[in-house]
Amino acid sequence: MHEKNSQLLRRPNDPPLLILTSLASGPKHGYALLKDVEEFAGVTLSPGTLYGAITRLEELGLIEPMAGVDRRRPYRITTSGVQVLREVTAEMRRLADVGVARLRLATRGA
Amino acid sequence: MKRNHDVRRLLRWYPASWRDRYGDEFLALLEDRLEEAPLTIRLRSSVVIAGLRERCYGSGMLGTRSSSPTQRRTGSLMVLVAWSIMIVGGASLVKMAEHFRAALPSSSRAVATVAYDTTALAGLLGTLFVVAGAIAAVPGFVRFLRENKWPEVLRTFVRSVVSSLVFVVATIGLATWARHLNTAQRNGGDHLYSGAFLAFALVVVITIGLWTRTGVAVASRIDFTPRELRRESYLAVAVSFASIVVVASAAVWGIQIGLHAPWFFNGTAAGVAASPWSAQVVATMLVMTLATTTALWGATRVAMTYRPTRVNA
Repeated sequence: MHEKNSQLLRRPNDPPLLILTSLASGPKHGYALLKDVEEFAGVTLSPGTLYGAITRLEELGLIEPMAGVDRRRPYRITTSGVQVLREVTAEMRRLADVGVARLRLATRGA
Repeated sequence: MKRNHDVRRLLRWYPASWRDRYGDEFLALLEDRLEEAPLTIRLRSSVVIAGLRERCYGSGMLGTRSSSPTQRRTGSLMVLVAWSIMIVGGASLVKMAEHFRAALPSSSRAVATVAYDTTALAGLLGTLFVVAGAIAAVPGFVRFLRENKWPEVLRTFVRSVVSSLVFVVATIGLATWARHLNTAQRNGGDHLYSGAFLAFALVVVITIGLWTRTGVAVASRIDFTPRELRRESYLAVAVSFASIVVVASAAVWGIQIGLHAPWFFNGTAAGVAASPWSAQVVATMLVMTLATTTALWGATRVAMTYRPTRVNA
């Protein structure tokens, strides 16, 4: 039960956030993105979900397409994308720090 | 080869504009994916769902991506579609309710009668609102004709006309046949007639569906002025209110029948113990609920465009 809950809360698996995180290490096309997300987050995105998120992120100007190699078009993170990713991860870190600190207090109190 | 063809076919679930922009690279991704795993039902359904979701976002049925006018138009058209569904449910209800007063004991007739009359009145009002919406769209329709957009909807229009002709022929045929049958034969006694009646009902549903599709195709191509669009959206909200009244009063009517004359829905003899849940009752309820849900969804999309924009100081 405990392991199941910790699995559930282990990491946020919001597809746009996963894609931004993946592109932070350099441009990638769809398949490379899928593989990278699978590797660093353990999340297997379906092609439909991946491209739904790519569509939203491109519309918001957080990622942009590059010249394609045959039919495979790589994407890169934009300056706004970097800024959003920085803000979101900082917020997540702050929440994680609060969680860790409170757990420490709870452990001492027990 | 067949697999590639299957993958290409999956793309049809996406809107054309999306396919133009992302189609090739999405196909490349699917093909890469299929190098390592087969085209499972799960993968297919995820693509289908994603495609439908993209259509919903693109048309303004979901999210805030589309402009307010697009969202307003889509919301209004959703209500129009909902009302067409409601007409199908309503027709079934009217058929089901034939002679219901005679089946009820006089002490419990009043509530059911008021509920049924309310359903009929709300149905009439909703239809009048839809007609008012059609009249309000006439100036836009004239512009549509002047801009020579008619050929774009010609095919769906022709289908609707053909279906209407079939409907007229079927109505005449069925009415002529019915004249040679007695009441018992007309109400399930003659299996051949019952089958023909079901086929006729299917023709009615298809005809309503095709005309609705034509209406949606035309309205989607009309360049409405902001004022026209506002008027259409107010009428759409009014229709959705009518839908709620229809479904609520129909439910009250159904409950009254279920409590006081449950045999009525099953066509069994009066006083015989029977469940009020006949197939027609369930189907009618489902259709009316679907209609009301769709109408509420459309009205919500319309209402969202009138929300005041929050301005940060």
